[in-house]
Amino acid sequence: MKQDGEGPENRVTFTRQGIARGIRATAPLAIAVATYGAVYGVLANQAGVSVLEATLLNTFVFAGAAQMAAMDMWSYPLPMLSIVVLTLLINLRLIMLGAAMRPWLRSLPNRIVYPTLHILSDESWAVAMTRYRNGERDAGVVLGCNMAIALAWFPATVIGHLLGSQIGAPERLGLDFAFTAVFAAMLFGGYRGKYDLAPWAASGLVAWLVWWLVPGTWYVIAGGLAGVVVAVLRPDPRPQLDVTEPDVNGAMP
Amino acid sequence: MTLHGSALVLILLMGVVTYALRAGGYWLMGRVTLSPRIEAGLAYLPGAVITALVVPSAIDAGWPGIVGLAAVALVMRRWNNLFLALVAGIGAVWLMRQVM
Repeated sequence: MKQDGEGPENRVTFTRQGIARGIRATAPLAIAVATYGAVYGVLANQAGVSVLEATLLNTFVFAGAAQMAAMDMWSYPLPMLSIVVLTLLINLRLIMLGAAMRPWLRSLPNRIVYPTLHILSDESWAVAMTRYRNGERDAGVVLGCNMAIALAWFPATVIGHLLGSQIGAPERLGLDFAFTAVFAAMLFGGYRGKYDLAPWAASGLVAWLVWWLVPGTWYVIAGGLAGVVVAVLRPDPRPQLDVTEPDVNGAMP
Repeated sequence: MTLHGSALVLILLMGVVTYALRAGGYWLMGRVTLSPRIEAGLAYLPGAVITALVVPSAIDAGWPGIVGLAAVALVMRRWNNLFLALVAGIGAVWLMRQVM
């Protein structure tokens, strides 16, 4: 069966149907994303950041975790350097997301890929990559997933800003767990059998250690690399499963 | 509807840094040649990255986080439905915080 990086990806397409599939696949996450969007809006309001400024942040930065962290430090005169460094540290993980998409997107023209990457988010990336793993090759899906998240995020931030402090603490309702729940669900949903366990365990362990010891999102980079290193170094690194192939992990030692 | 000049500059700087990271990983992977073995291993990158995102944040949430994770795992195993799993995870965390 075909393996990543083996010859040109002749099956990779970019269609409107793909975009629609991406939007549909990401729709269940819209509520989770709208939740953090509203929280960001509330924080922006409390920090004295106007709706216009909050929306410009959405447009140019489009990275919720970094934007929320910045609201904490947003007072005049603005601590520019601190906020930029904080943004860099929190968004370091995005390097891994883009890197993982290379095999899928590389045969497409840059004028499609680079704008699409601007609205890449953790959630849309995870949905798209789960589909890729299941055999999806239409890169329109990537754009559709990204668009769905953006469509949930933008209005939610404005609503949060307008409601301001009328919204209580999200922790009270367990809503702060939405991010973790979404990613855990995608992880479990993408499980293909015992062969996944060693890379995932290595990643989880290293990520936890680095998260504990080092500020920023280095832990995502360290965990991702640890998983790949284990996958590469173990004997018989099996190529990625194709969707048409049933799970045959029982036969693996 | 206010927009401070320094805020605009900061927003643009944050945008440049963030976009460089988003596009940089993709760009960088096009500059390096990888052996087939490493290419095959890289197929595990998405799962490893998702694990790296999940594990510390679940541990950070304490016991409610661990129970929430178990609820998500059960729902995904039984129904394989993202939205149900999300609701179950949040519900479990909420419930645990009520009783703890």
